[in-house]
Amino acid sequence: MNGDYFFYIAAAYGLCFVVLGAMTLLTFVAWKKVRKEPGE
Amino acid sequence: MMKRFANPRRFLELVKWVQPIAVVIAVTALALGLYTGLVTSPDDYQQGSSVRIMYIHVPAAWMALFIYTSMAAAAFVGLVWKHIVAELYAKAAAPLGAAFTFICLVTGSLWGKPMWGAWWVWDARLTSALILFFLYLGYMALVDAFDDEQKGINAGAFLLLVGVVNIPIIKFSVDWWNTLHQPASLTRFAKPAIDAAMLLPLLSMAVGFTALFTVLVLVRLKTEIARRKLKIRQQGGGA
Amino acid sequence: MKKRQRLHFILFILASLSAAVGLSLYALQDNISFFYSPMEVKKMNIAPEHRFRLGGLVKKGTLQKHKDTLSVSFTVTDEVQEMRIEYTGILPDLFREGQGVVATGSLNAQGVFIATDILAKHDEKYMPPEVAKSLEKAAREKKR
Repeated sequence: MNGDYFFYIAAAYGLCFVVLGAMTLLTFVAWKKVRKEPGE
Repeated sequence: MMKRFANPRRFLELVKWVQPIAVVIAVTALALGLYTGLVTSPDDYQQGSSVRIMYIHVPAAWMALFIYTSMAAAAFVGLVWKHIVAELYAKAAAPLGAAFTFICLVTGSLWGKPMWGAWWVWDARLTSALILFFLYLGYMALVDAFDDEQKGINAGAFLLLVGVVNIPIIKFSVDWWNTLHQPASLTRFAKPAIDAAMLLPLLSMAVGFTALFTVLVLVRLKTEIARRKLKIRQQGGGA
Repeated sequence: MKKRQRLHFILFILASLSAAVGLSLYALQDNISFFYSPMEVKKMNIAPEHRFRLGGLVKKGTLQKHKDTLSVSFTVTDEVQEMRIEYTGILPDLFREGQGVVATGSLNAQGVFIATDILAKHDEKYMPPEVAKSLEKAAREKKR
């Protein structure tokens, strides 16, 4: 890989994995929360 | 009540062994996709390094279409047969579909600027993909807008079924009309128009995205089912 | 019975909706197209000064760069008809002979398309340079 288009590639991959990471985090936080509630 | 939960119970049994397998596949495929996509795959003869954006843009677009189609199918099953897991599936999958569509739109923009010379154009492919993003957001807003959760899910199901006409439009826009966006490189009947060394990261990412989606949608479904149970227990007078 | 009613109701709504959307898209065909090809433009008799987008392949060997300015002119073709384009400005990275372009602008009195904006369009083929070179070589040998 050469350095051409570094900004565009880094921004695309960075954004992609930030969004997917955030979705993963939100999903597991919601699951942990619902498990802690009484009656479950 | 027991009859209504018979299905979710079987579903939760299934999740117990599907989830860990999907986690392993997701981690392996995403790692392989990142490594081959960013390190070992060759530059394109026309587009140079920027072709690497394809390895996330295209799988994200596939996920956006696939998730919407699966939500609409589940909504259909939910509306007709009142299958509770199917009803909850669309609600659980919508934010994930919206996320993949968002990734598809933004990476496409980041690829379009250096290659086409524009961040965005209003051609049929890009416009219909943007409509898909709004359909996801509209669905989420509609489901949340009702106090009675079941009413929200039913209204949302109708929106999903109406919006399904957009899916073939996205898919075939590049064949039906003149667009700036190029036609599909992978079609069922033709030899792929992508070199094997570039196909590997593309397909690894696609497998990784699918597996990650599977894990997340299963956990979200478990969450929705648990929430439903809690609510019914509370309404039933005493935990 | 209720299930079947719901099923028929939903299927009926979906069928009529798809028919409506299909017909509207068919009627709007010309407006949905992002650009016109030289053949379509010649058929339509577009008036000078009317802005539209013209798209096609940059014909090999027709690109002329004017010295000292950023002006270029070239011919676009759809393999049937062709048109001359003049443009002043920066070209996208992907712009080259044999590749697709979409130009925004209007025709002048002489029938030359004066572009104010040029976008590059690429095809669906992706391969490393070495593969492209060997394919080209193979094609040349076949011709011989």
